Amino acid sequence: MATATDLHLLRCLPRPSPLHRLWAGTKLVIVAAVGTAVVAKPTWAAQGVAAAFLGIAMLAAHYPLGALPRLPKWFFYVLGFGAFLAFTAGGKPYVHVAGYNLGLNGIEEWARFTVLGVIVLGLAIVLGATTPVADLPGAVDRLCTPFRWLRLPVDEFVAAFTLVVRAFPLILDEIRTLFAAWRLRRPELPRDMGVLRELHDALVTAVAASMRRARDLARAIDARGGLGRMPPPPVRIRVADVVALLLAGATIVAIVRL
Amino acid sequence: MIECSGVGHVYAAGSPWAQRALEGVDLTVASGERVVVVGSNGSGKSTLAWLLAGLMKPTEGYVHLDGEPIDLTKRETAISFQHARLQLFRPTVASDIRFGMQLPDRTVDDALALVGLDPDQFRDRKVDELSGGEQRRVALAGAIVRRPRLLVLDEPLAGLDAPGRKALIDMLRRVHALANMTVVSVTHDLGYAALLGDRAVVLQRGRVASDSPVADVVRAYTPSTPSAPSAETAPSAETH
Ligand SMILES: Nc1ncnc2c1ncn2[C@@H]1O[C@H](COP(=O)(O)OP(=O)(O)O)[C@@H](O)[C@H]1O
Ligand SMILES: [Mg+2]
Repeated sequence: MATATDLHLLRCLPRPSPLHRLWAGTKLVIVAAVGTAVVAKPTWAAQGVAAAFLGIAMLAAHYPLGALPRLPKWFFYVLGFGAFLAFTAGGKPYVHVAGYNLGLNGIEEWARFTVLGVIVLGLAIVLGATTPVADLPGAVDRLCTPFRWLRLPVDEFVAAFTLVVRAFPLILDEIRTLFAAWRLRRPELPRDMGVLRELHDALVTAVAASMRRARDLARAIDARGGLGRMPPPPVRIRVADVVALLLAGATIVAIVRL
Repeated sequence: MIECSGVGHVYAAGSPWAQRALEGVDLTVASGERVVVVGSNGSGKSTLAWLLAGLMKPTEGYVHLDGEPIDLTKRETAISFQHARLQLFRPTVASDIRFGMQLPDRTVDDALALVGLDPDQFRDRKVDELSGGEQRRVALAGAIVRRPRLLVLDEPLAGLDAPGRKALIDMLRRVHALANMTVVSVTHDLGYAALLGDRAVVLQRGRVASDSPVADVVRAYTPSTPSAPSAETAPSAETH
């Protein structure tokens, strides 16, 4: 059965690769830029370019198939249902099958946006798979420097981001426990509105538990005299980073032009 | 009777993050027995607890309850997690104990009394206003009213002060005596093992290192012995 931990989000691959050696900030910029470009222009041609870029990135990351997120079955059911709905929408172009006139526009749009989702998620997954989580806050801190000049509350944002990143494994673990507890105590009655109430109960528990956790964390931080701001590690741009940036730049140009 | 045969468990099997937690565990627990599983951090205690409660299927071997795989819908097992708040689903104590069942007030009050919480005082308390130890006891009351055959407790004493620990140990004795449940407790603290069970299973790096009356284990690992399980810290990093 797929569980929250099977998603392998934000888990760095143990085997080093060329992408592991890039600066985390470089990867963040590239994912943000290529992702934005393909979302802004989701044509098939642009997506083909972005998919090729993703493929190269996965090769460079030595990304094994076993590391792919294992999605729960219901996810695919929902996706399939979406395809069905999109199909019923019809529209141009039309094909003739066994005397029926079928409009493929709906299903074509659905496929395009599904592929778009896979590409954007894939970029984020490669980033997570090649970057130790601990490296992210420092890189975000560096990347946010221009916003500091604009007197935006960057320090607070970076502090919050650091906390989220650190708390992430804990939260996954708690979701796993919460879900297990719920499976053991699930009422027998449902198949009616009771299901909604159950869900509500589980959510309230999740929120209450995380509030307690947040309060404990806040107390621990206060006890240590606040978060303070650690000077982030220096930016390290090497030849590999420049190559990656150039490749990403070319990809973006191709996406915009095609 | 609960039976583990050749039980092994690998988390995230088949992925680069595969992590072996248990290996070749054979264990039989008779009905009504009180067993304590002792081991250092990362030795696989919680994994074994989850498997015994039927919350996961082992990746190798099997866990059977009375000769059959555990079926959660039969509600024959219950577990108490270290973080009890995660298993409370209603805002007040009595409504949580009653969650998903139709129970007379008497039953709820009896369960509260059994876990050492005065019903008049606690029935209508909000679960979020309770201490961690009290929350754990409410969770236990919620488990007991379901009359499970097997009760699994993951680190039941963690985070409790000395009086809290004593209260919980007394409570477990009462529950065991009254309901004759099979109770498997998990702890990293050998010092409390003798109070939690009659038989001790020592886990080391996911394997059963010994299985004997608890007194023998406590004697074998007296502080002068350097190889006390609680002194060993390195979690198993093997992946196969
Ligand atoms: N959800 C999980 N995903 C991956 N590895 C896990 C998970 N839970 C536990 N492990 C690993 O399995 C091993 C045993 O863990 P656990 O059963 O929690 O030990 P204990 O309760 O004795 O401390 C450890 O190495 C731990 O890192
Ligand atoms: Mg544990």
